[in-house]
Amino acid sequence: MLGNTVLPSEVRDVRVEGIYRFMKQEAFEKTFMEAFDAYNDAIFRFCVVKVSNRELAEDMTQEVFTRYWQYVRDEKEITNPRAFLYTIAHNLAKDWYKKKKSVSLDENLEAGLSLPGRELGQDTLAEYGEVLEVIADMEEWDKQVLLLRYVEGLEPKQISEIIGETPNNVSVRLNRAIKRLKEKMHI
Amino acid sequence: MNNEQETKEYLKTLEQIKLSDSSRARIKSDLVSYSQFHVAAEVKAGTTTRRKSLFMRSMFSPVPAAFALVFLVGTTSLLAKEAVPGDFLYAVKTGVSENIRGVFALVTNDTKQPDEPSQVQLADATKSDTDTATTSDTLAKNDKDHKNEKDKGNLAINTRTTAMLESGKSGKSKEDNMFAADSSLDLATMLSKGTISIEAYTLDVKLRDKTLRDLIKKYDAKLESSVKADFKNKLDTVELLVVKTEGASEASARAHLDKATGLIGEVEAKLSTLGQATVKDGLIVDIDFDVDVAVPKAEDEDDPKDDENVDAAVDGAFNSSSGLGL
Repeated sequence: MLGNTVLPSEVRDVRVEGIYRFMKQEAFEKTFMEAFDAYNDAIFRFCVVKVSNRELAEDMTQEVFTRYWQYVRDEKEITNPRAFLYTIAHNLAKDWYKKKKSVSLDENLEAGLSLPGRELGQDTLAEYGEVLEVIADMEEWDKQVLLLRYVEGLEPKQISEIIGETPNNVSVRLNRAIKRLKEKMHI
Repeated sequence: MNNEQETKEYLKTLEQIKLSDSSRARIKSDLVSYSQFHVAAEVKAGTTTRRKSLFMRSMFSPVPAAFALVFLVGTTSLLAKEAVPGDFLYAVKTGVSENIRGVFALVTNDTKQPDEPSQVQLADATKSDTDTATTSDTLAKNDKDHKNEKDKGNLAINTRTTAMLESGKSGKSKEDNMFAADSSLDLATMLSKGTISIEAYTLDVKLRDKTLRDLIKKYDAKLESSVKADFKNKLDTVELLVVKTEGASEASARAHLDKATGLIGEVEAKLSTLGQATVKDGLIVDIDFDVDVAVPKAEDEDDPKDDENVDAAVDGAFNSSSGLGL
C-alpha cells in the first residue's frame, strides 16, 4: 500500500502533517547551519575575550549555538541572528563569571589562550600575545565593547541591544575603554 | 591617526582568533546531531486541522451562526410542512411547527377568545396527512426513492469492482486493484479540491526517501550487501527523478514522481519482508529483524477465500468511505 501514488484519505492527514514537519525541520536546520557557518568564529572570539580560555570558549560557543537551535526549533522570533547569538554568549559569560574562580593570566595562557588555532608567524604571534595580555587585563565591559566595536564592526546601537544598555552609554563606555587601552599600550 | 583608528589597528590582531578546523568540524557535527535529535516541534494543530479550525471558527462566529440557524429552522419547517405520518420530520411538524402556529394565532388574535376553529383546522390537517400517507402514490414515491438510493450504492460498488477486475487483467494483485479504485476516487477529490500540489507530492517522496535512507543506514550491518546495493540503486534513482521534476511541466513532474513512488514502494515492500515493520504516519520507521515475517503467497495460487476477503474489504471500505459522493 505504501508504494502507491495517492494515499488513502485516512492516512493522508497524518502524512501531510509529516511532510510539514519534515519541511520545517529541513528549513530550520538550513537556517541554523547558515548561522553557524557565518558566525562561529565571531562568537568564539567573543567567548575567548570573555573567558580568556580557549577550551572553555569552544564549549561556550557550542552551547551558544545549542541554545540558538532551541529558539529556532521553537519558532521564536529572531529578527537579527547575529545580535541574538552575541546576546546568548553575553548571558552565558555572565553566568560563568558568577561561578568562576579567579584564574591568573599565566594559567590562561597555559590553557591555550595564546594559540590562535592555526599557524602564525613569529612576529604576528608576539603581537598577538601582547594584545591578548593587554586585553585580558582589562575590565570585562571594556573588553566586550572594544571587541564588538573594533573587531566585529558592530555599531553602538547594535552593541546596546546585546549588552542591554542605551546606545549613549555604549558610546561613553567605548571612549573610556579606548583611553584605558591606550594607557595600557603606553601610546 | 585618531583614537578610533589606532584602537582598531591595534585590536586587528584579535581577528586571528578563530576556531581550529578540527574544533569547528567537531562542534558542527555535534550541533547537527543535536538538531536532528531535538527536532522541530510538532505541527501545531496540523495543516488540515488548522484549515478545519478556521472553518469552524468562521462557522461559529455570531453572524454566520445566526444565518445558519435561521436557514436551518426555516428549511426544516418548510420540509416538515409537507411531512406525513411515518416521515422523520412529521414529529417536527406536530411537535414544533403547529405549536408555533398556534402561538402566533393566539398572539395575533389576543383580543378574541381562544381560536377554536384553528384547533379544528389542525385536527383536519392531521387527518388529511394520515390519508395522504396511506395513498398508493406516496408509498410508490417512497419505494422509488429507496430504490434510487440502492441503485446509487450498487453503481458505486460496480464501479469499484469493475476497476478491480480491469486492473486484475494487467496482472496486479487484488489488493492493489482495490487500492487503485480508492486512489482514483481520492485523486479526483484531491485534484478538484486542490489539496495535493506537485510541491506536496515532491516533499512526500523526499520524506519517504529520507526515512528509508535513515533506516537502511541504521541497519547497515543487518542488511546483505546485494540488498543494500539494490536499495541504494533504487533510492539514487528516486533522487534523480526528484531532481528531474525541477523545472519540468506538471504532467512530466507527476510522471517522474509516480516512478519514484513506485521505486520507494519496492524498497518498502522488500524491507517489510525482512522483519517486523513499524509504521508511523504511513512510513516504515523501524524494522525488527528478529521477527520472522511470512512471505505472502503468490497471486497465481488462487485461494477461493481471497475473493471473499476482497469482497469483505471492498464492502468495508465502501461503507466507511465518505468520498464516494453518495
